[in-house]
Amino acid sequence: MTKLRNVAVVGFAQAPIVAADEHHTGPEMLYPVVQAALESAGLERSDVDYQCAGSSDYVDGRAFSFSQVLEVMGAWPPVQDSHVEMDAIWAAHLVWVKMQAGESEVAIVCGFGKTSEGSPSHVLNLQLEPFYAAAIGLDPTSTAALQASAYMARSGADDRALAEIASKNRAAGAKNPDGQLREAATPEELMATPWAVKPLREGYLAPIGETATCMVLAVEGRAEKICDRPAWIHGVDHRIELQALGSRDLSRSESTTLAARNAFEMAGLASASAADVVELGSTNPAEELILRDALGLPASARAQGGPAINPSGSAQCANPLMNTGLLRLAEGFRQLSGRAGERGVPGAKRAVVHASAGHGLQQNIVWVLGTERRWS
Amino acid sequence: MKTFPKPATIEPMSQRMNVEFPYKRSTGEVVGRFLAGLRDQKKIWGLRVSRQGVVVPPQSYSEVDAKAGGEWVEVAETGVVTAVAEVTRPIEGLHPSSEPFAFVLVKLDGADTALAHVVLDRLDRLRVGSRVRATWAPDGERRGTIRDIEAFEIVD
Repeated sequence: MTKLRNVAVVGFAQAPIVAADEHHTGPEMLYPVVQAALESAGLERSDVDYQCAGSSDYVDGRAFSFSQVLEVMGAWPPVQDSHVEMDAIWAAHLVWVKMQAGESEVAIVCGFGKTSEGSPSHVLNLQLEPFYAAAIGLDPTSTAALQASAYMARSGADDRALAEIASKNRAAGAKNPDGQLREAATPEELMATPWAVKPLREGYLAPIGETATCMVLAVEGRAEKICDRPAWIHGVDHRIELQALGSRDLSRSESTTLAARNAFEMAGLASASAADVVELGSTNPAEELILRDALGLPASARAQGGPAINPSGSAQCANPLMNTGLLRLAEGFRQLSGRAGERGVPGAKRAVVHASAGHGLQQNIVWVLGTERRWS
Repeated sequence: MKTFPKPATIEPMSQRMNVEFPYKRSTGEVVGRFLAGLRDQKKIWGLRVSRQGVVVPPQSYSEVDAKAGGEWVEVAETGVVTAVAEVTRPIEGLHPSSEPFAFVLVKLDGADTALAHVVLDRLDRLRVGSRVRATWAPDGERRGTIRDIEAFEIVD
């Protein structure tokens, strides 16, 4: 394996995840978050040499919507700025690449999007192929339900198996002060909730939520001075599935398996089971089971031993569009840097972080973080 | 740090904006031919492409190796359901029915990939593995869209 540049997550801040922030615009939500992230890292805006945001024009209802937060992130004197029309965790990947290229030493990554201002179902329908998939009226809950049904038919997992996973996440989410859904629920209580889209119940899904996020990344030499306990990036890779929903095996996540294999090889990590923490970007329990399968993790919520899976409660307890993935990377950082409070996994040294974009786990990214530098 | 008026001091205001982007999209050579088959022939055509087999609905290039072209193959209007999502509360202005219905993926007989569509009736009997058949929009009402197939119905 080629020796790469050591890069670390050194700071993070987020706005409370709420159903609707009626008092602020998107940029106003992000502004104090950027300030807080820089303050937590002891940085001035002028210390940052690169900034990258993840947001969506369709979510925001305007073209080139990233431009509305340029000044919030700090655009003057002219800075290197970039943007991905994806969850902000992909912006973090772009920063990592930029740092590998030697073009950045300290950078910020921002996610924003006021999910409540539009209709996520209508907006995300437009993400689909226009003639065959969007035209039939598919929305993300329905594509997730299609995927869940395919997984349940292949694996034999039943409603109770989903409820047990969902209940485990709800119990974890109750301990996460930065989450949205913070009430524990038993499998029986969740199985009594109505169908959202069958086979997914309302109790298995996150409510509509919105937030703004800012992460600080820095290279070796800078990171140690900025943060007492940096979370070093040991490996990362992301892969995409075939485009058409009906072309791929929805019951599996081959792209997660491949991305994980590459990220683990880069990190020198034998498997996901060898990590202390695994944080998955699954927005419902069927996705979690598919991802566990793809990563060789146990299918049962009751399995003992092995890594702590989804200590944050996962995206099932908060799914603020454009930020959901970056929050997973933030959970990895919080767990390894002693910032996870009551839900902290004692002595955690390595974390596997996953996030997804698109309908039905269309694209998947896998990271490995560690408390020690990978290359020296 | 700049501070903003506290929520208690001003009532939150909002403006309703309907942002619309009307497009007229070319259906292209492959999608267009497929849709013309639905509209004019009540036939479902697939494209046999490199390393994917018969793709229905067809796309212009192989998703696996990006090779173009291939042989057009007519497939059956019957097939097997590979995924089911049962919608109990349809979303107005988005979903194709105002009554409970199901989205399905259907692998038509003779096809190697599945088509996304809807089942409107007898949802209690619908499951992965069910056999279904296409029902068609009436003559004169088919407009060259995927909804020229009105729905799929369960075959006993």
